[in-house]
Amino acid sequence: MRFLNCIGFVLVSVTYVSAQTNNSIDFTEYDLKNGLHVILHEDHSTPIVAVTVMYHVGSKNEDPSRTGMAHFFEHLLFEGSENIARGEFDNYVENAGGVLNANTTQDRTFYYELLPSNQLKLGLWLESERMLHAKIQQIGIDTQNEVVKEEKRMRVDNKPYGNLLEKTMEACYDEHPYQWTPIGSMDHLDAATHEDFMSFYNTFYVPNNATLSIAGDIDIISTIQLIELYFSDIPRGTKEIYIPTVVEKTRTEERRSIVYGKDRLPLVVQAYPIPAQGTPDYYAVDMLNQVLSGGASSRLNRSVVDEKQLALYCGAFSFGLEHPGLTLAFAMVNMGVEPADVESAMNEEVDLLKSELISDRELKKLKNQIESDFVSSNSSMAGIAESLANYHTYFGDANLINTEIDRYLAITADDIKRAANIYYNPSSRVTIYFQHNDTKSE
Amino acid sequence: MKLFSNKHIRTLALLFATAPFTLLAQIDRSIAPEPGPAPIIELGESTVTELPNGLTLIVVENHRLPKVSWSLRLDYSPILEGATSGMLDMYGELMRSGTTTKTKAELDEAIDFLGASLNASSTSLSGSSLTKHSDELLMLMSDVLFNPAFSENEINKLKTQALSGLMAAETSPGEISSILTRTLNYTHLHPYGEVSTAESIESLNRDDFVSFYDRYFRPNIAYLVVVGDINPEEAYKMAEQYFGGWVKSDVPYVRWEVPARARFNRVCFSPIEGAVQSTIKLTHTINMAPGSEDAIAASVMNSILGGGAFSGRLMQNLREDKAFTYGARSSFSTDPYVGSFTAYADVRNEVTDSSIVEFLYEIKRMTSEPVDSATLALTKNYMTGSFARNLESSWTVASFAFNIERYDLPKDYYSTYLEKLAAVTIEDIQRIAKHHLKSDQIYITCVGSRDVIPSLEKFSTHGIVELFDAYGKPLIERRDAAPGVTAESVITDHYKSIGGVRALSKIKTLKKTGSIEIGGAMTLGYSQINCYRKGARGAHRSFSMSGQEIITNTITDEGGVEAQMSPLKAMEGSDLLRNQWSSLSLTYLLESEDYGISTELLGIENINGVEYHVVKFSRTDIHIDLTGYFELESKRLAMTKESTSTLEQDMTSTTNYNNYIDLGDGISFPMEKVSITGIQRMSIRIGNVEIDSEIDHTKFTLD
Repeated sequence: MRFLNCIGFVLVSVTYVSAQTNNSIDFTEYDLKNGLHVILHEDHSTPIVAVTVMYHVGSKNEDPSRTGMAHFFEHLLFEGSENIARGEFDNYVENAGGVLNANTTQDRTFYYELLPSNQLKLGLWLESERMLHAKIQQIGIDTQNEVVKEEKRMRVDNKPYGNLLEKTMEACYDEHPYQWTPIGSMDHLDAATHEDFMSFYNTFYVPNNATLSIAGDIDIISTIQLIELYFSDIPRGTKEIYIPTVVEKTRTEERRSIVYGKDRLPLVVQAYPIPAQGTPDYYAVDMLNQVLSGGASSRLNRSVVDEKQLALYCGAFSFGLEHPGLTLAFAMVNMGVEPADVESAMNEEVDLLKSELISDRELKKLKNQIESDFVSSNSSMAGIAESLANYHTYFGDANLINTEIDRYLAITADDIKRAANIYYNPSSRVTIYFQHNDTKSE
Repeated sequence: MKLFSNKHIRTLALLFATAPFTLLAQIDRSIAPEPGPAPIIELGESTVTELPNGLTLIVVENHRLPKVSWSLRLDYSPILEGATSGMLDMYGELMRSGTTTKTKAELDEAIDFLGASLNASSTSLSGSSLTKHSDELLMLMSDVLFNPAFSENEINKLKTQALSGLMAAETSPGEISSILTRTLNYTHLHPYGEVSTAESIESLNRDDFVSFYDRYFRPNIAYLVVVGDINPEEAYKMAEQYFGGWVKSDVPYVRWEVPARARFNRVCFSPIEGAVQSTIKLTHTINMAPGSEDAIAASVMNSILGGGAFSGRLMQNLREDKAFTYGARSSFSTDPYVGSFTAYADVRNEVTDSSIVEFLYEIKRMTSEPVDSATLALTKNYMTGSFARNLESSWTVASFAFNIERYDLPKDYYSTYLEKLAAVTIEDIQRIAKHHLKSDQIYITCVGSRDVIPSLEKFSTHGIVELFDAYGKPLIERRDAAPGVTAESVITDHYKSIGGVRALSKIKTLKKTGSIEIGGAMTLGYSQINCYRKGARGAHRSFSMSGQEIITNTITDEGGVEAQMSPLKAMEGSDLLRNQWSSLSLTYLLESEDYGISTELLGIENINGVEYHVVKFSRTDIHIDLTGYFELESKRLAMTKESTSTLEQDMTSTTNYNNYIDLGDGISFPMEKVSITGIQRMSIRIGNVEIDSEIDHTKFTLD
């Protein structure tokens, strides 16, 4: 059976992208029989290889009474496997001259090893061990439980404005799991049983929910063979992979709140719901945000920071997510300035975009910026491996690494004005002031 | 786009043909796979040339992306800003905020329109764009370089932002910790230890920026590092065209003294309201130039302790074993002037002291135990890998060339780096750790909740947790004294409490004997005689061993001498005046004015739950600076702090006056006097006091 299993993989597709521009990224992609998607990019300029696995699980896939599980797994899965003793995962990689790490978002969990290219096999072995039979033991759970709590203290509780995202997401989502952030609830993690962990692992850490993306100094054919050896005997998952279907209701009235804390400078945050990443309007909103805060000449910076001198920083960016996400506009208010004055200055700029088309020169500026960013974006093997995996995981189209720019370049001044009117809608907005505790009584 | 290129059809065919055979060689999952043959690590090429105006040009050619970056970097010795501290931090943004031909808004738009970037700092001016925009970018860059406007409006805007920034930093544990460690390690007398304040920022004016620009933005101390889609000849031509007209001029050079290290372990704490973690840094200065003989071995040593690798000892101990923290690391920075060693972590409040125990344990272990060969091998492998991986970016090669030039390193320093790394031995690691890591001369700093303070006293050589504010200044929590209370009344009250000014003034002679303990190791006999009679005033103190006077100190109105198992040495200047003031009268604090020493009541301080009136005695021209702490309740002088700090030496003495005993008629003296000066602790215990008995006046002879 094992023999059959091994040769029985199916090449679902092999894509080859011809060079359209100097910088296009060639890659090969296919599925193993167990559903693992593989993407390979060959580049011999430096003798290194990035071995990465993206699991399509993030905090939005969590049970609302077990938030923080996805991120917790990111910690737990360095603890070892059937064949890798506790604590040895790092040693193997570092002994080979590599680095490793992982990160978790609302939508996916990403693991990587950056290795000298002669250590490709090691990366494959480690990642396949993690996927096949990670060791989930109480000692690891207990240790990482404390470590994650320290991570939360460091990144959220003890950091200036560390609760910004948590408070914003909480205010913006009532139904959708985006209402909690990947760090999750420490109480939930404390309450999680060994069974909860095993069930999470068996549900989400399966080849049919993963993308193996490798970029660097590799030979495609022998890499395909090695992947076959290490990954093809990992059984396909049998459990249903939970994806939330709840759709956040459209709000009809602005939500306003004040969050008090110990930071001295007030922060003004405005959040507007936007379409899911990858949709046509998402690109229009993203371009709109580029008008507002792309570079020093962007409108918010020029007006709020430079001309009116109301803020230390003012900008807007798309917090693109797989399900409908947010645009976040925020300003760190200069000392002695009223947050309300900053808020109206921000609104003035947005209102201008709703009533007037941006000029041809401004549109050209945006496109030049996009082109320049695009050229710079694929400069490392780690970055390429991650982008390919992202594009596949979210859109089923890894080739967006080469073509997504066209979607941006297709946006017109009219699209931007329309996006401003539809999405920068005051009645669906959430506005939060982060203020110092001392301002409470006023 | 075409699917299935020829190349890939071949790939597929080959795959199906070879797969079964390959797979016969089953993998054994229980063991880690062997690596393939080690790849050859090639350093990219760089070229170095010089323009006639002295500008050094470094070019690294890489045509992977149609992009070129230009980075001008200035190499001048660090500048002590003093009262204008903060100017250098603001300088770059100001320089980039408009030229004599373009307002800030016009300049910003021109740069953004190219999709380019252009940034400045007090040591650099860097731009980057697609190759096709290189000329336009360089035109803007040279405009910024040659014609910065330094407009008043922009200066005011940046000042407001800097002041707001200071306010924001007051609640950031990371910022506070970085300021605290800088000021402790380098002091405010060294450029690396300066901290800007609201006052220094408010005082800045346009001339400060202009004169810095005129003096330091010169081609003869500058490097132009060019990386990307360009060849060295083109780069030279463009550098000539855009920067050839830059005029050279001598730039001042300052050779900074290396600030003195702490002489013992000091615990320095900066409280932050509501903190849920302690930001811990153990730090001391080190003195190792970049590229010096031991630099690579030192970085291996640091990597084992807590450098980048996850397998570092601090990470394994404090995170993976104890789960005290999300991450614990260390850094060992080489620097041509002065560098530092720092071990750091953010830990939850309850384990602050336990974490410091582990930090000290790991630092000591580096010096006391040889590392095992497996650890050394892993670390070398890790560092070899990092070196190779960093070569992915052309900037690495550019920075190698830049370092070789500015630090004057051997030309093959980086091309032989891996060989030098491989040659590092276990003995090297321990030798360097022993020489450079000082677990008994280290600042143990912590930014966190006040609740943890009591648990940290044990780490201080003197059992004291020193408090600092968010700007690295000693935190003195002082309130105003009650109305009507003056320096004079506090001093008079003190004398009243020990017998009264009048009774004390009647005492003509005093004789005290006892013992003195120095550094907890040596005990000597102590004796002191004083004569307070007008015209015959004198004081003589001696330390004796087996009845033999070995150290003496004699003061009269005419002068003073000291002798330490050697001929007499005359006291002079400040030293003499200071001794005459405090030795020739029993009520000397009231006679400060006679010595030109001014007194000032600073207020009331609470130290460890006890309140004190604080009076400062100072004479700035001869550096007399003494602060007296008078207990509010007993009114007695309980402590003095005296300081004479210089960059080379931080001299602060703290003296506690303990155990006041009533000798009759309400007159009382402290029977114990404990002084701590640096690492030296000295306690004098008086066993016998005689008032107005016969004394040997010959002891007061000065020759």
